[in-house]
Amino acid sequence: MTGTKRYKILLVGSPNVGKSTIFYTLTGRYTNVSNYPGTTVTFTEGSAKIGEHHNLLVIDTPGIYNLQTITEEEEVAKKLIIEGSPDVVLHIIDAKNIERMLPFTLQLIEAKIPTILVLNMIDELKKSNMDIQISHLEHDLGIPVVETIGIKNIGIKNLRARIISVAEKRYKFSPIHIKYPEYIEQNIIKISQLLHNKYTISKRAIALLAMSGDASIIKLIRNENFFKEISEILKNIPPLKARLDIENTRFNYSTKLIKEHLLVKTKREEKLTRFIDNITLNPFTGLLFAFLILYIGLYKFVGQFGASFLVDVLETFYEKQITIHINNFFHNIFNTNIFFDLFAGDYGIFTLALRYALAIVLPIVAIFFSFFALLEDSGYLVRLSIMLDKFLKKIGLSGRSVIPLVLGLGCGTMATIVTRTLETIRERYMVTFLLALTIPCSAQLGVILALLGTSFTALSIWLITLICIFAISGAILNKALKGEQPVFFMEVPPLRIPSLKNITLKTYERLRWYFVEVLPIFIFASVLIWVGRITYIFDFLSYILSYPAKWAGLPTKTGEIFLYGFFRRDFGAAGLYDMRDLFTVRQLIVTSVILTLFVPCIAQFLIMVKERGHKAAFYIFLTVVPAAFIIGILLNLILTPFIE
Amino acid sequence: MTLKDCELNKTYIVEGINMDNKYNFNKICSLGILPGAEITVIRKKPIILFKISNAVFGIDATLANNIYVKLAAN
Repeated sequence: MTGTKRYKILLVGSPNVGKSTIFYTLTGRYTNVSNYPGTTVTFTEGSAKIGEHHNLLVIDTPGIYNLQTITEEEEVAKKLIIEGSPDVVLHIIDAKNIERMLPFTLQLIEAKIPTILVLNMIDELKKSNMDIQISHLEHDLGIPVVETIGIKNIGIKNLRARIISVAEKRYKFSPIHIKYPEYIEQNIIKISQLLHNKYTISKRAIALLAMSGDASIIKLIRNENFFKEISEILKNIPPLKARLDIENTRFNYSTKLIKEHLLVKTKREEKLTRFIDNITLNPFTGLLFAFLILYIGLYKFVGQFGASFLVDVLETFYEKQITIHINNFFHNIFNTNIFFDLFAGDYGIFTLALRYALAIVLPIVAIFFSFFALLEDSGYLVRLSIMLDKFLKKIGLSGRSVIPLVLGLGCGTMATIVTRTLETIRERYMVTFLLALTIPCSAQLGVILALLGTSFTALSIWLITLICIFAISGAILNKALKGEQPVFFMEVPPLRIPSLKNITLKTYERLRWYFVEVLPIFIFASVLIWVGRITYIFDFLSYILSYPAKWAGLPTKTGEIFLYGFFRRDFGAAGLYDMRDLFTVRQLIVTSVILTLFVPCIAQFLIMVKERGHKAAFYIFLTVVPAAFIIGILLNLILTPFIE
Repeated sequence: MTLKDCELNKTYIVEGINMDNKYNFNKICSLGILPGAEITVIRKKPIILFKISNAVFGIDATLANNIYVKLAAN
């Protein structure tokens, strides 16, 4: 293709400004999640075509507040900006927060990065009776400024046009110049003169970051010939004071610009938001509200609608319409030799793995993910984090861990990845452990709710047991692990009515991820089960696991369910659902508890190894397995006098 | 005084940030809570919620204790 150049476009900005929405609006659905080399941090890439001649590679970066970075995720975003030579950087901000977000734009401008400022969610700004004079702002900043409403596809056409004009270097930047306090300016000159290597960002920006003690920038300039001299200069500048002065200067510029160009009409008191916040954040009504939401969301929606109704319909359909044909088909090929069992029969790839994946797990997970997206987009998840912060602090976690923990109710594997958003290693480790031990994933949850749902007592015992174990194991971990207690802060978005399009897109993306991740493991598990069965290794392992099962008062066959549970938690849960008629109520409670606590599935375990390292993952594994059975045995003893 | 001792529905001006803990300092700076900024406390429970420009932040007592403020003139 002649005349077609592929431009690299980066999307940057703080969390919750609608980056991903803009990303999907620009790229459509054909995206690709990759790992940043040498890290576990992922970013999403997608292609976009504008007209005949313009191909874009669009990259959605992790959330970042400015170039002074702390977490590994922020570090990746920064590397993509300053080492990835992007053709265009879109700094996406939440328009009504422009005053706080503009300092980062100023930093990007100062670094000579080809930036477009995107004022997203401009409708929310206007709803708060404000308006921005875009053209004046553009003139003063000297870079393109575009307003958009990502979820409504408004302003995107204009954004595309501006991207092309910047990428083709047709836009004439006349960047605003920021003057810092005298001692900073003098040191910028001194340091810049000593920098001789080539960088993709301006020396002025490098000098400023170095002065504020930014570790990765200092690493970047380490092999400068005059690095020793630069270090000498830096020694005489107190980094925190310098950082405060630098940020303050940018902040003052930003405030001044905003005062000139932001028109504030009368301020409106948002009575409804206040009222809802009073309910959702009050420790008493807030907890009731949380229970109500989880009851409706998890019990009614995921449990009854998803796991009972939808699964019933789909499974009956699969068994009646598909299984028979598959069995016949493979019977014709293999007759009844051992290969028949690999594909069909009771444990075959098409009859077990695909049935579990499509008819049992898919409906449950799909319903859960849409419920989770609803919690996220309405702004309720943040309020839940805020309300639970104090409780979680008691076991050494912060409100921030609510997000991976609630997501864990959907998929523990995905939630383990999301622990990255936690700030300290200690908190990540604790949440990883709690996810492995105490949080059931949606497939388990759905199946367990369906199994125990008929008996309120059974369900309550299961729930109370899990909450107790969560609190106890959390408290033990908190005592055992060294390190500082986490601090908590979070931006509180306004309550919003979620857009259907956004919920659908998010759910679709997560489901796609889930299936790319899960389906191969289901099939792999089917093959392993087949190998295990023809070599009798499986019978042996089931036999070993049947002992603790027996001690917990369960049928011997339960050993097999636990074994499946390791291949995928949901696989085990689905297996339990298959055998539900063989159990008494007490046995169902005990099995549900053990299955919830028992090892994370292979996928989650592999992610644990990847995220937390071999040692930590094996420790967690070796603690969780005996713990699950000991608790099961104890629970059985406690329940025996009361429940049959 | 620090943000932790602020009263409900009053507006304060940030005077400074405690530099003893570099990590907390960086965190607060990154949020755009800088000397001169105006903040209004809108809730004190379960944690402190305050308005800064048009955003609302929730912040725990530890971090709030690192932000020095004074009451705004009116």
